[in-house]
Amino acid sequence: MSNRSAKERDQRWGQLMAEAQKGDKVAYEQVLTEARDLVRGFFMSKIGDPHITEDLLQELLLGIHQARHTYDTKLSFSSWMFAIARYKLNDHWRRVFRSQKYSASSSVDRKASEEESADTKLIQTELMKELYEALFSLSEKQRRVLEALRLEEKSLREVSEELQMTESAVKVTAHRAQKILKLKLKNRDGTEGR
Amino acid sequence: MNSNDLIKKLSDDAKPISRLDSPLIRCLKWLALSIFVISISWSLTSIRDDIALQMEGARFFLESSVLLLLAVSSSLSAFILSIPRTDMSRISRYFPILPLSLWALLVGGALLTSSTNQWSAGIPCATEISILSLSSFGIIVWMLRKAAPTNLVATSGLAIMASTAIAAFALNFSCKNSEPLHLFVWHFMPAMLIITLGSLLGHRLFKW
Repeated sequence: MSNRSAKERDQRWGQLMAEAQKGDKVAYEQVLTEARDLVRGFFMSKIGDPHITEDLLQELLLGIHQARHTYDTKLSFSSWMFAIARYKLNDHWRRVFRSQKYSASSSVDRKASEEESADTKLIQTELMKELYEALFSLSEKQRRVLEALRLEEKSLREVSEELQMTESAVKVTAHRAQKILKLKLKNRDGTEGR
Repeated sequence: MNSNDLIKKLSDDAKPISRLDSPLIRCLKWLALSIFVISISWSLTSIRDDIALQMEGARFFLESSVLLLLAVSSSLSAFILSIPRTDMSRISRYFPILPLSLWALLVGGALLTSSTNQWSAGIPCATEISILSLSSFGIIVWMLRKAAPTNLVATSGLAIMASTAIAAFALNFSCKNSEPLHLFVWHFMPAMLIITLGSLLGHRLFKW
């Protein structure tokens, strides 16, 4: 955006804010929305996290609302608003720094728990991988029955209608498929255990 | 709640508001209130007997003028800083440097050039400067909290500097001892201590 258009925008915002100070709801909504959209980029460039940015934007909006009586139309609106935005950003960093400082003493525990959680995640991923491998070793009909019953949590009737099987045939197929799966996973454990 | 909902809520809440007075007007209001507090203090402690004689001397006049200038410049800076802006606030925080340096030079210069530096107790002076600066500080904090300071430490530092300077100004009129060592130990040093401690209160006093 050129300097001229930025200046024009700043003047327009100043006028809107002056109207807002008189109680004009529409002008206030417009200036808040446009200001929010401009500062979003500034916060994103400093923080990088869209969730924290959204929180900070809400803090900024509350700050503008709280300090709106301090805005003088002779001043630049952008300068006034960015001063509040910087204040909120610095306050955020102070909070982050403080929370890091307080949790520094338990950093060893945190590291251990992070490692543990990473191990658990890895095990879960491996298990899911093995399960899917076993599932794909079943026949098409057996796999589809298990998927529909266990993963999609459909009823026997729904599965039987979908696969055009009798309910008892669905039951038998599911039972056999489970037995095969158990056997395959058990064999895998046995192989790894050796 | 997302920011769109918040904007809707805030704009629905928009009522006509009265704008805050300019920093200069607020500075003058604070000065008037502080002088009122000082006049109460003077009526309780009484003004020094030799005031007419002192006022004829250049040192007393210069020191009082510098302290008054320090009080006005610091409070004006604090009031400018209490409004979110980036243009004037950068320069304004340096307003009190000159009067503060002049005060330090006057006190330090007198101490170094005086040949009769005698120790004298001055607990009442230190007590008076503390009480007066805290009273004046209470007023300026109340006024600054109505605005929206964005540099909390600087605002607090300038506010306590203004309050301490006005208290030291008042003490010049009530303390009968003009010994440079007395002025240094019981006027200047407590003032510096109060300024340092007061500056640390920024986040507790002005966070919004």
